[in-house]
Amino acid sequence: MSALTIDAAVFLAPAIFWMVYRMWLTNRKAAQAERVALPFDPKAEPTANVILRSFPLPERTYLRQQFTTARIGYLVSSWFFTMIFTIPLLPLPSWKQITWTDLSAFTWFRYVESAASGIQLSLIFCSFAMLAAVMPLRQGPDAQFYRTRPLSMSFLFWARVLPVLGAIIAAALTGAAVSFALLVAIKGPVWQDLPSSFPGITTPDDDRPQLYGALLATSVPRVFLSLCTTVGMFFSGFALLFTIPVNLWSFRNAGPLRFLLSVVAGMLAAWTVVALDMLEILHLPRELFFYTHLGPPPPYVFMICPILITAGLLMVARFFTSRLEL
Amino acid sequence: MTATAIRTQSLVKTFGRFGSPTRAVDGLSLTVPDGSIYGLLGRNSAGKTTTIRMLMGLARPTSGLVEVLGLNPGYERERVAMLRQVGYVPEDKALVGMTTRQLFELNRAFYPDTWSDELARRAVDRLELPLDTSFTKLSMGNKTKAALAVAIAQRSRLLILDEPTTGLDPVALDALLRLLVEDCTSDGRTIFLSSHQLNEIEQIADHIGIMDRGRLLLEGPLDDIRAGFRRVTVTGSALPKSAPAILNVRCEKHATQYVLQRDPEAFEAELNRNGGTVIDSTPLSLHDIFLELCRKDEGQGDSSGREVSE
Repeated sequence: MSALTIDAAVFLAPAIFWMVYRMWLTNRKAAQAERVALPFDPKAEPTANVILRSFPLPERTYLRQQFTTARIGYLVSSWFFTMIFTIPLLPLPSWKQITWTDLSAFTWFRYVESAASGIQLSLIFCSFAMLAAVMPLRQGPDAQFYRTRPLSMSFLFWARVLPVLGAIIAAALTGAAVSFALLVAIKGPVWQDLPSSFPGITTPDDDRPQLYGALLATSVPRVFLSLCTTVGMFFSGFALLFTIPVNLWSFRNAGPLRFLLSVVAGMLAAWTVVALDMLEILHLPRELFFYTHLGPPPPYVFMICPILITAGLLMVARFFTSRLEL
Repeated sequence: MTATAIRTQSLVKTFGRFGSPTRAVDGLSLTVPDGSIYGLLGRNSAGKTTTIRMLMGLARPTSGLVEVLGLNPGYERERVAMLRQVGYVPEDKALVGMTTRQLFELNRAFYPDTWSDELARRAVDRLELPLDTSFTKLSMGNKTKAALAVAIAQRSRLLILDEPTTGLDPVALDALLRLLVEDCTSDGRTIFLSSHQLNEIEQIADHIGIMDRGRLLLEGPLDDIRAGFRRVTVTGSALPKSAPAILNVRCEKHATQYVLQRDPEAFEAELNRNGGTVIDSTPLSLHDIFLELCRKDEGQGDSSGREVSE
């Protein structure tokens, strides 16, 4: 085992540094703006990449803006996912691991269990992300501005939703990769040479031997793939929820209500996934490729179900978007 | 080229499906000629903003027809084609979080075929716009100016301005009106603006429409409207209480005061023939015309007990 350890400060420090840097940058720009008054002399359009080149200038401009937002979203989400997957690598008080005689097995157990249950926090995060992606289409100055530019509602919807969805899934995979790399760097290849039975002292009503058996049957790649497909499916579900063309959102100062609703929606989604998976209702978890607990994985073929549901829900949300009035 | 820039026919917009729905726009039939400066006047909650939202495709009509530059904003493809040719300044000028310069650069990309950098510079110069201050730090007047300058520099065939003068000081207002008249209508473009500031509209508009409670009370060329309206004070007996030309009648101690809405000369000649004596006949200002029409409509609205909101 490596002697390296990581601390919670590893996650907090970059976030605080980034926020301070952004504030400093904003203040510096504002101070400069008040000193120098340059005439309006527009910059030339940056060179378009392969994806952007096929779009006309108005769409290209909007997409470029959304890609920039998605890049920032990707960084924030990567930080978030890395944090939730790496929490098990933080040092624990020694009494918590005292009943495990094999620390490698204990570390691997914590890492895999944390990855599987990471879906709960991920869905709350997803709900916020979707709220941020969709709300500017249905109200506020952004909606008023962009919906009166020569861009179709369909384009606006896909250009906002797909980069965010892509950024979140990419961030989940990045978080998984970074956490795994950290696991290897800090603890070494702990999944190798795991004992075939629970390595520790047990009591008669202890369920850890069963859990350990489940750990040995767990497929870690499918845990992360399941996280991605589940996040995608609920992300599109939130898209549908936030585009329902009712005027619940339209009154002034609806911000706190929207915030509350997104938290509740995220929590409900998380509970639904966990409850379905735990209770194995109607075999739905398997067919929906849910994988939030240790044990044998669902077959890869069932990945198609959440992907199709995601596409279907997004299509309905797209239809609802065209019915949104300002 | 279409002969009309904007046309609505029997346009209705109702809010609230259950209980007592309110009609914000109630059978509105507007015609805005191509190349005109059309002022849509109305009190608060007259339905002006709702009408404009329907024109821009931001709200769907409950019934009726909307055509902007011959295109129906209810259909997505036609809406996008329409938006390529329309500049729009909403009532709420709180714009996206950026500086005016960034807003200019962003908007420029949306209208590559019509945008004019030179016109943008002129608008910035005349309106004395700070380009690099964040919108969050701009005053209400500067936000309005920025929104207007951006729309003007688009050089769109049609400019739709909802309450465009909010927060402007008299100097900025004068500069704006000159910009609109000199730079926007010189090549046959159309301006459609809504306001309840009658003086501003009177200075630049050549056509007006007056709306109240979701309905159009009057529409036409401003000069024709001014010529048609007159306040006539008459003495005599057996004076008429109603006629198509009479908008309002006020009976005072020794005389009767008519507010006429059409053919005042013919009406005065008729009165003279019937023994009445016209002791005073004065044309009405746009302000007076507006007040008289709204008063008349208010009386009718109160009797029918209709609720209208914007």
